[in-house]
Amino acid sequence: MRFSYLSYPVQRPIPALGGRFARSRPVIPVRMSGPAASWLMDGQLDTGADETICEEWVASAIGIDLTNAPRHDVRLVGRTQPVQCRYRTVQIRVTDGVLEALEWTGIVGFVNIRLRFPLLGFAGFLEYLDVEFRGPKQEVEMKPGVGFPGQVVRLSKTP
Amino acid sequence: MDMREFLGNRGRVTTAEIQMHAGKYVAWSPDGTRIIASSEDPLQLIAAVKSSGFEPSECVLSSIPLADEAIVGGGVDE
Repeated sequence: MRFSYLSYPVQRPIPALGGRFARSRPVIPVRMSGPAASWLMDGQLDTGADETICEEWVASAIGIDLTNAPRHDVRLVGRTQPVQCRYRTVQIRVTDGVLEALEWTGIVGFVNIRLRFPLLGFAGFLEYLDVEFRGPKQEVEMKPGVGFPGQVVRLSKTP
Repeated sequence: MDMREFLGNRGRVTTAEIQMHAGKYVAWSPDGTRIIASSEDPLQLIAAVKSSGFEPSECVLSSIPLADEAIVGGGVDE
């Protein structure tokens, strides 16, 4: 499946991009489901993130109880101090709506700080997928990796 | 929800509309044509989506970075 990078406008030219007025980011919609609800939310594919991390309100929104959840400190770039993260399994579904959807159960960490986007990092997300980042085309191609532990669901609607 | 339609439409939303919500959590309509709610509080955003008339599970929750913000990692030091 293929996703275009999202373009976010800026007000001043970006030196690192030769003066362009927009940043492109590999942000994709992901469905996260828990015992009580299911929500679609944008997450940023991040090969530099060791784990998949969301804000704590996401757990609450899908009905996941973080009481007594395993805890671990994580370091997030931009934060001077480690942040406590609590972990639960979450049903994850990704599709571009064309041919198939990928569904699996992943371990997601929840933190009580603001993230600009949920981080779709290695543990729980990228560890299961083959992902190709095509910078010049500003798109990302994603498919299940070897030993993908979830389900590949063929969509009835084809192009 | 048709994700293909959503992704196609969202890419055509104007930068002006996106910039109006900079720094906030937002919810996209299921067809991706517009932002139906925004808030600095995600719980208020969820409440707004639930009262919007749209099926909540088909709206995409997101966030619009501040206009001149470079994201070099996950944390936002506030």
